[in-house]
Amino acid sequence: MAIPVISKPSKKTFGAKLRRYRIAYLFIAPAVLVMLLVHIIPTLQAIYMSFLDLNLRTLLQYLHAPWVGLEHYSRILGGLISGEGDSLVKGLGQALKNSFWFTLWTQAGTLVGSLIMALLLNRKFKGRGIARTLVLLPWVVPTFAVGIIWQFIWMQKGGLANRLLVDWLHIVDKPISFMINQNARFALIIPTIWNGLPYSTIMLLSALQTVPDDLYEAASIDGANAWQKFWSITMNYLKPIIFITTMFGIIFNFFGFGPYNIAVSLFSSDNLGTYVNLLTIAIVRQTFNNQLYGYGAAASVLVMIVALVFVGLWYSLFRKQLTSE
Amino acid sequence: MRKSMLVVSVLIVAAMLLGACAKPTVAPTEAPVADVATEAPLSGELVLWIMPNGADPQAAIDAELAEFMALNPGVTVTTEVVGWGDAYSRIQTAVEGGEGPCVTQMGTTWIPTFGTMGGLYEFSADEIAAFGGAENFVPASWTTAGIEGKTVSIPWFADVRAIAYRADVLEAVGLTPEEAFKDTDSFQATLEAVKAAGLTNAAGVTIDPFLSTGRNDWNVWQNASMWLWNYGGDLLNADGTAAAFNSDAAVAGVTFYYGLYGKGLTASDTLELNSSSTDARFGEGSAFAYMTGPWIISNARNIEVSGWAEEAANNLAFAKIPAGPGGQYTFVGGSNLSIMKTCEYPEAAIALVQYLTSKTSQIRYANAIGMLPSTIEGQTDATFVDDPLFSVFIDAAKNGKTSAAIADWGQVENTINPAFQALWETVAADGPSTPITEAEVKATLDDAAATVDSLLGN
Repeated sequence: MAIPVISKPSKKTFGAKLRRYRIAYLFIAPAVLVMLLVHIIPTLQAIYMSFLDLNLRTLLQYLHAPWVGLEHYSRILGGLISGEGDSLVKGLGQALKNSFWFTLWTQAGTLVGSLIMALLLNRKFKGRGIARTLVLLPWVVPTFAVGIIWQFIWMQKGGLANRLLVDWLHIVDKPISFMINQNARFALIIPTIWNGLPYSTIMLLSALQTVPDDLYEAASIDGANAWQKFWSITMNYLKPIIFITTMFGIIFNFFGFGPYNIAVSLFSSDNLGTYVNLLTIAIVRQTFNNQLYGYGAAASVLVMIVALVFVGLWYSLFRKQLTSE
Repeated sequence: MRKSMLVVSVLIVAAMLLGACAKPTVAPTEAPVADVATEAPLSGELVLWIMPNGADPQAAIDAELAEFMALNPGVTVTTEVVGWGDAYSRIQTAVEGGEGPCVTQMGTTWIPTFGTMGGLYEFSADEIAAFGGAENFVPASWTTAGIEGKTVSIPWFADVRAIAYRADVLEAVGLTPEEAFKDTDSFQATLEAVKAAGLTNAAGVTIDPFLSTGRNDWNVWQNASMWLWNYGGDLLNADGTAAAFNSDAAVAGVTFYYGLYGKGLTASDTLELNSSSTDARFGEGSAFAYMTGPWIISNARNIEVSGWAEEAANNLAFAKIPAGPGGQYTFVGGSNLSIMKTCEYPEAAIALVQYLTSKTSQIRYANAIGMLPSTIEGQTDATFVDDPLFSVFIDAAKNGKTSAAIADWGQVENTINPAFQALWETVAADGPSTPITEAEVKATLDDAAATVDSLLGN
């Protein structure tokens, strides 16, 4: 039987490669074409728009609007760094701060919650199948419905949380305004954790099921206690999943629109104010409501750069952990 | 083998691409039947975008269009009900040359923005004369029709605000409407009297004196502006070139309105409420008064559908926003009709707008959706002036004010709205027993005024 030999990377010309792998190129061509149409071209267009004074009065000129170079970038970055920017830039600064804390709390809550849930669901008990199915329920609830459900929980008058705290447990005297000012932050963080918990739980649970029982048995023979077994064996298998789900979670919560959908239906408003205004949403509002398309494009490009730098750093910092040992 | 595979693959991909690019098969359609009896009959297929007006938006507009199409058999009108949340961006796309309607409903505060963009049809003097001229429309509505001297929309219906209250509660505290809502002082005294009375509704729930919507409402600046106007302030100066909402008079008016919470005269959870939830709360019969529009009249008159409590429905009454030291004004908003420049059938579109602003259609449609006609002949019709509930709004509209007709209004609105929302956050932070101070209001409004002035090029 002939042994397949892995050939060295060929030094053939591009034309020769194209001829050799023409079928493969043909098959991926539609995907590349679609990628170009829906990703690359709009992104390049947005980058170009960020150098234009594209606003209410110049919108119909579109890409022929007056060229302003780096003006939008210096306005945003200058304002954010000095803290002396106009109200739009101050709004972005505030949203940036909100997004940072929102993401931090949401990720921490999701990670701790899902780890506990996964460890519990990995144990053998009666009704484990049903429990695993039930855990998935919050994940299949659409984000706008998550907001509505939690609005009924947080409401000051008649809300479930206040009924529980005031009427049933008698922990507080008066109903709490959960959806106003500082409290609004956690009124949004908790439903976001609730909605995201199942995904992380299932991912961690699947990783837990790959841990061989032999390792625990060997550790027991060596005299390891429960914590040592958890830290040295279990966590070792969970690390790649934790780092990848955390990365996706940060992208979703910091750069994405998911929390916005929850917030809009939770607070019945798309203008989320001082405490829960998040970065991406602030950019969208400032761009479209003020008709400042060039400025908005510059802000979006800056966010895109931050996202790319974040992903790059994340990979380089946790490269080892992202591969199971 | 590899060659044949390649050929098959190429054929499959080519077939898929051709299939995707092929024109869809269209069933042959009948050509519109021209009305030979009519002189120069209009023809065309119009698309009309409306927003969810009234309880049954489609039925209300269908009733109007059925008559229009019967009068103009060559014209067909297809309606699409676009949600308020999507309408702005969809109209924006249409103005930029994207797929859009021929005729569209527009929120009155949007006209300056879209008018400046240049995608709307400009009505000529002759066409305006055919609509009865500017004098045929309620002045506050007509001021929203154009921008920079160009008329790019025609007022369709008006949304006027007033105080809704329960007549039985007012009677129980021994006050008459004339003295209760005469001015801001008497209004506060009335709310204090209702609070002191400690009345309950049929379900045993305490009746709150007042409901004011909080920061999450969509009428934040509109609600604040009425108190600001009545104290002698204004949003912008007379020629719309500088902020005026931080003047001493304006600050005093805003402080009065926002201070009701800290004086304990509103529902305890009032800052969580929005316009929909205040309508519902009043309908439950657990509030004495709040600011709203004429659309709740149909709720009171159709309790089987609205679910309103009988005590709220049977005792619904309205009063004008209480006068202040600067006068007695109310907010007049509503919607206008615009024709897109890209419309292929402008003559038919103009005829449609003319029909929808005719007296018969104005009265019937406004009645169906719970708003007021935008024309004076519509508003002065017995249907409205003889109605004890609608007549208050008709009277209030005579002193109506609205947003400034300037190109930068969109940016101004997006600056003042967060400022008035931030004031609700201050009210919440101060708590239910500490009224917001003029200094707090002034600081927030000064900051917003500086931004508005810079936006307006000062």
